[in-house]
Amino acid sequence: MTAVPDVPGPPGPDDEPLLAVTDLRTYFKTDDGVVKAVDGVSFQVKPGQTLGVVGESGSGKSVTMMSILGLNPKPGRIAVAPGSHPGAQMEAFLHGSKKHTSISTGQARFRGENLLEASKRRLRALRGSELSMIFQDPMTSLNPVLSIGKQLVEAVVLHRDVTVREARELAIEGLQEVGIPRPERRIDDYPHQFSGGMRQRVMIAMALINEPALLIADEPTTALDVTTQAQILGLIRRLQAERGTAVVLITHDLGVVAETVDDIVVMYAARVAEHAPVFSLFERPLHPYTWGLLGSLPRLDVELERLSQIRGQPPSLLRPPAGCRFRPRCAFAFDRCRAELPEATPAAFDPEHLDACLLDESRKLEESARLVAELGLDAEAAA
Amino acid sequence: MHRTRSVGIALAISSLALLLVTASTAATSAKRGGTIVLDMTTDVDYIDPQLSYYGETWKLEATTACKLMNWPDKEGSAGAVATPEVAQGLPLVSKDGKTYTFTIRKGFRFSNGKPVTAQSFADAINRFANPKMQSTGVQFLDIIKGAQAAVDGKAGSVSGVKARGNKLVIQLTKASPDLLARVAMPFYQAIDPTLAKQIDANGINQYASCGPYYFASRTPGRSITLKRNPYYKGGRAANADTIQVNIGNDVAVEFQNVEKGTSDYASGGIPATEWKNVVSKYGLNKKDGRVQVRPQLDVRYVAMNHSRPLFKDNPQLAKAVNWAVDRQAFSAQGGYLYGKRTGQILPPGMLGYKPQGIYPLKVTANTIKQARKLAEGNLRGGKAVLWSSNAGTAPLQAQLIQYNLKQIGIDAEIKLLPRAQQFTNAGNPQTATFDMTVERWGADYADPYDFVNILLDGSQVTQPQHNNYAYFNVAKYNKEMTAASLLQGSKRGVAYAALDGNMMRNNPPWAPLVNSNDRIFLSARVGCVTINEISSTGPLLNVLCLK
Amino acid sequence: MLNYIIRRILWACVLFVGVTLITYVLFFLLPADPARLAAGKSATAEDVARVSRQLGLDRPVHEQYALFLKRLVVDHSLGRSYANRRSVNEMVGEAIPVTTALVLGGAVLWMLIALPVGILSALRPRSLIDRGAMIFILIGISAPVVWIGLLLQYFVGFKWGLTPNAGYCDVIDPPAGASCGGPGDWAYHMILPWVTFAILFAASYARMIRANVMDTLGEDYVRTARAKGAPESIVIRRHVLRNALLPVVTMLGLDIGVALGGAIFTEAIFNLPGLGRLALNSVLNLDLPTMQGVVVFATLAIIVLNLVVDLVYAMIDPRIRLA
Repeated sequence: MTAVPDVPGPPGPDDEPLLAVTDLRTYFKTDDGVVKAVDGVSFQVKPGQTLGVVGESGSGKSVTMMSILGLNPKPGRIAVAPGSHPGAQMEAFLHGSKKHTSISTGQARFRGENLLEASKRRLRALRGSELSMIFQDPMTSLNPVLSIGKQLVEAVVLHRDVTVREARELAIEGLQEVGIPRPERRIDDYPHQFSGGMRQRVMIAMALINEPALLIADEPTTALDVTTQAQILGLIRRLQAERGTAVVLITHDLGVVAETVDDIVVMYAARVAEHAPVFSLFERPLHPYTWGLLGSLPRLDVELERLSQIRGQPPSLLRPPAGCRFRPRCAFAFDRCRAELPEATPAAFDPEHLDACLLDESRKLEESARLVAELGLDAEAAA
Repeated sequence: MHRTRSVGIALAISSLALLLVTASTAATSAKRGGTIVLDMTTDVDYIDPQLSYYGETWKLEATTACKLMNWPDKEGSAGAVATPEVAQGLPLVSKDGKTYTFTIRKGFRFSNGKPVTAQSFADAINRFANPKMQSTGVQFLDIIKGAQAAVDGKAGSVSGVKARGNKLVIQLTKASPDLLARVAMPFYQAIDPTLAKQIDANGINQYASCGPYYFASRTPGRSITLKRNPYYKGGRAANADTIQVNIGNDVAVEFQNVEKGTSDYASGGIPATEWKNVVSKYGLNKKDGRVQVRPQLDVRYVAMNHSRPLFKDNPQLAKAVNWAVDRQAFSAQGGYLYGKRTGQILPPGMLGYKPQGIYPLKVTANTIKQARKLAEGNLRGGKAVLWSSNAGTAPLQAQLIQYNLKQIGIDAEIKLLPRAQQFTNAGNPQTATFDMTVERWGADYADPYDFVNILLDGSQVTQPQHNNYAYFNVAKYNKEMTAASLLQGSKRGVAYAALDGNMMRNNPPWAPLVNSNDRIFLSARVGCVTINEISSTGPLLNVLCLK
Repeated sequence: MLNYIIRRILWACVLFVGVTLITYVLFFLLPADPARLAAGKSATAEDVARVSRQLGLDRPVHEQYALFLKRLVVDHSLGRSYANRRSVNEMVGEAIPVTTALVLGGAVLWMLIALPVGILSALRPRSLIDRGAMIFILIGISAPVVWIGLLLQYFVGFKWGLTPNAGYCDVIDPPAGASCGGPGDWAYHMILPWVTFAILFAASYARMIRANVMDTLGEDYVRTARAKGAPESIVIRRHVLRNALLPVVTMLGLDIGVALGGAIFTEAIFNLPGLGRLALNSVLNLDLPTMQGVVVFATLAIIVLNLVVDLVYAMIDPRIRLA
């Protein structure tokens, strides 16, 4: 590495979140009705830390991130009178013109600045420089008709006042850093000349080339084979450690995040089920859905049948069930679950550990302890 | 070549007048100068005098050629009298009728200034007969002595043709009164010595000619330009400086052009549906009027194939068809003033034509009843194949016939063919798989021989190419036809009239439908409209003038 | 690369022989006799036989075809027309520039229409522009060329007199006696044919471009470009259009190749002396040499344009490697 990057960080104290998302709601208008893809999600990312976001596909993980970056199609930015009640904008969207097909409300404060209210220009300036994103499928995420060099150079010159030649130097450095052999030769190659893993390295190089404060990695390894998966995760971990970049790692695989992240958000049906530091979550998972996820983890070390599979299907986001959204699939559901939509609330034993389950905390701890013992997660976590 | 393209040349031997073509009738008041434009739908075949055999070219050659005998530039029947032009009076004919001696008048010059001589006409006949020219009109030479040997390449020139000074002597193989009509064909026009040496089967597109105009240029497929012959001293008019022919426009465009005045004469015709409009707008047959309609020597008919089971020895059914066809509706498909309905073989104006009144020209409940009565018991299964051209109004007309046949119990299946394929296949016994075919015949000659013998003489039906689409072969009539063709004058007329009536009454080969008209649409710019009775020649282009 | 081109040329030869042979055989399956047509209406059987000999029609099909190939390859001659005995090389040579002018001018016009319409309607689906474009596409695709041509001819050319209603003028060197000539007259006369010819293609290209652009907008790499912070103009230009228009280039090449074989309807309506009209007339006259001449040129045009498209594609799309 030729340059030690500055650790990006806010001027304030270290524990102030880099990104704080509060009550984020993203709705899409479709021909069938309104899809509430994200419906009241809150979480934080601390500078230099890694947040894992876990959930089944369709749980709203990716949409949450796209909303934060302003990348949803046809986002609505509906003006309402100042001082209107918080839902006014959403209401205007739902009953308003067909021009906008999506809207995001709530807050997504990046270094204190609400991205949901930022101008398009401001968002563009942030995207790719302060906030970068890499995607699930490296095979399709690079433009097939442009050489990777051109795509990397484009990423640089969009945000920095440098010559193309300088940008190209930076690009070669970036490729070097992500482990592309002989980058000065490969830089003029086209995406189809690289393997999947190599392409994801290129994507990472591109995302990090402007040294962002936050990298959002949306299932970066899903499309890759197992060996490559490990390499890419290792690469992200290494770069994050070297640069102090905060990372949001989206995955549907709890196993992937366990070793990589500091905090975990578990999402279910457009909402947060549980949000906790990684150790806390593995030691004392508090949400029945998390239990289900842990129970269905494939384990390489134990010849053991899966203990539990979450029964049923995730609910439709067009017409979510009343009350707790996990209720129809939950073995522990009781009357209140039908009536109330639970909010994520801090646990008594640890204010950092939030969960959105209406069960008594003692009951949750009891169940969680049994599960952890059954799965041997305590031993694993300790190891 | 093509039936609908063929030119008729009225042969008026019997009424041949000893008149000289000395003065034009219209030239005196005409405004000279300017360019007259005409539109043709398709290109001409050739403009080479010895090759072109196509009505549209002959319209043009009527202005460029000078001939021994020609049609005077006169309106109506006065213009249908073959009259000496370059010949000084009628030729001297030997007693046996086999030797004709023409005397050449002085003063005719080609557009390059060279004089027209007796040799110019001998050159034409020799060039015409030259096998290297591959002219398709050589059958019109057959009566000239030595012509066949020349055509076959056995002789360098036609031995029966001699030019001595201002005399042209033509010897025939047999006494043939129609030589005078033949020499009025463009094939026999005088040709300049340069052209006489140009032997090219591909045709010459630029040559000096001795009529009022000459071909100044031709771009195949696109245009032809005629200019006034500066050396012309004959009496015929040459009003416009230039006659410009634009080729290839569809009839719809021709109508638009003439209506707008960017063209003066829709030589290819206008859409059938427009005739009614233009007549009501501009009137009909007014002096110098824009719409002129003249009858022509042609007939449209349904030929009934007598070699196939349906019509073989089945005269009752053939009569039934004649009673059943709706000639009025058929004619209506062709648009306003399409023609005159007919129920007989010979067209009005033809020698031997006499209204026979055998079949109804209008369908009523009674005629249908009569048709059914005749058909009853003679239907032989009642299935038929009906051929028709696939172009223009022909398919609709075929449907009409199909409907008429249905009424008498014949279930006809229509087969639409490209016109060329239709008559080629119909004229070949190997391919003639029709029971009925809708045909048209236009006269080459204003003589009943060209209709009756050519179309109905049964001796030809076994040949691979013939024009007897009815496969009509009745010994009695074959004999009568041959006999009629040897007669002259009024006897000839009487004999053909009897043939026409007897065949149609007793054993109809066809269901004749319509004698169609030559319909002419002109621009507002032109005057001096003169149309002679020679079939399909349109307004005489050398007389036509800008107002 | 060289290997590839050689392979293509060999294939082209096979294709060429195949197409011309089929034309030949089909022609001989027609029951009509061209000698009879050429000999004229009053021809006797002997006349027909004579013409048949002259035209070589009395020989067996394979001999005639071999003769045709020999003449073409050795003398570069397509023979002479049965109908008017003109050199077919000359007739085809005269028709090529007309059809080329019609097709290339039409292609420019249809791309000028299809590109903005297709792109704008894809970028603003369900907008007024998109709905208008859909109506245009529907009309353009479903209305027959003949009908559009006749309509334009009648109203624009005749009723309103804004343009000539038919006819062709040479750009340079008009024939003697021609009523018009020069670039101005030429373009003036070509307006309606270009529009007529372009409408169908404009509509189908607009539809194709719209679909391609919409598909490409959903591509992951477009999202990547946006995530990089690229402004929408760059996203569209560099990432969407470059990819979306690749297949359009192929189609354009192929369509031009096919159209060069003769835009029969447009040429017939507007009386353009191009290959389409030549082909039409030759079919009506059963004029095999002329028909074959047009087929030879059309086949060559298609083969060459195909090759050009492949080579261009290889240049603009790095994924294609001609090994």
